[in-house]
Amino acid sequence: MSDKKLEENQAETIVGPSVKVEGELTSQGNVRIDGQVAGNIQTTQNLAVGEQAVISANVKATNVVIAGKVKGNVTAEEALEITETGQVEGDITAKIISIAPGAVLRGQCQMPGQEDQETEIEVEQTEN
Amino acid sequence: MYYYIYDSFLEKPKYRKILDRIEIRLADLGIAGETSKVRPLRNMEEIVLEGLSEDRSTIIAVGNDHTFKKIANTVLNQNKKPLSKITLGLIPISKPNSIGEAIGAQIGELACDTISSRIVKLIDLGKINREYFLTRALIGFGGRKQDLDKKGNFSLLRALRYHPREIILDLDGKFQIRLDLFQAAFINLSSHKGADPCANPEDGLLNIFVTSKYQKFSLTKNLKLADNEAYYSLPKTSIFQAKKVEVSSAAKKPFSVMADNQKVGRTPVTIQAVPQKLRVIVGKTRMF
Repeated sequence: MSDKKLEENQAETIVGPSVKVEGELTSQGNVRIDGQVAGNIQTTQNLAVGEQAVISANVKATNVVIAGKVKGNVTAEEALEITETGQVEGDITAKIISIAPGAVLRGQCQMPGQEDQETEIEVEQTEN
Repeated sequence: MYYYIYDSFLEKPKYRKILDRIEIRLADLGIAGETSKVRPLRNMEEIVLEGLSEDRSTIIAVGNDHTFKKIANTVLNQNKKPLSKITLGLIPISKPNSIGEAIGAQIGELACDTISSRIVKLIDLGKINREYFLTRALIGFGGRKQDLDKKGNFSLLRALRYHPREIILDLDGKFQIRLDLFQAAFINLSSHKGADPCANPEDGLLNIFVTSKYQKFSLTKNLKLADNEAYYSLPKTSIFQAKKVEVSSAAKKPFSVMADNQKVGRTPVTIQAVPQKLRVIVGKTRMF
């Protein structure tokens, strides 16, 4: 089997409904959570939190989509989306943040990199 | 030099024709070698150890999964010859042939061509306490022999009678999983064509699929998916990867454990991946 096919088949971590996980859940692949997690969640890829999920943990991932309940700080390297069913009780950090109408956020928002950006305006000088 | 070990069930007259064809094909391919047959007074272990002491380095199991498993276990537990100098192959003659399908050895004389093409892979093994396994270990439903029907598939009647119980899995000492278990599968090497995802026996990890209890009416459809290792499509299934898993029952009653379709013990057990342990001749139709 080619390497490409192996990559496509790479198992993701999935925490199904009615499953309780306690501890440090780390992964190198995409993670989907539909059950309950307490502890820490960290992945180098994407994290999806399903509508039924209840998470009591600090979360770190590249991209995060939250449709369930999260109690803890959420850090996304790139984008973070809280859908209309999502509830977050904690601080969120991401370069791109999207919060749908109906979503709940009790915490602070941080967008790293934005404060450092300088806008350069070039002014053309015209001779009179 | 090839050393062919024939299982005892091949003594039956119905296998004579296929064995003749295999011997002719091996001779045609120029890979005929010494053969040894398991008999009541000469068991598999003795034959394997005898071959190793005579410096045979390529041992071919002729039979089925059980033949290959017995030879592999003897090879893994001996100290006459380093494992790096031993290569195993399989010519499957009858079912069960999960290992054959996983490594790409087809039933009958077609397997001779696989042996002849000699693609050798150094694969991981799974280990339960002290017992090794190649394909998968099952706990919960499927963890007992009576959960299988005559064809070796999961029995629907048994599944309907199965009572889920709470299980605790500790993965790599990092996190713990608790659930009312229908089935937990620990896969080193996928052995069904419908397997999704396919386990990679060269990554040093076990794929772990944990399925919660089902309503009875959804069992018919889901049982087939579980049988074919189509875990991505199987509802209520959690997926993890780990090197080492400690499994225990939350209640006093233990769970039985089956590996490679053979009973290996009861919980509490430690199941782990043993990376790059066995050199195996594989075919082009292998599952990895």
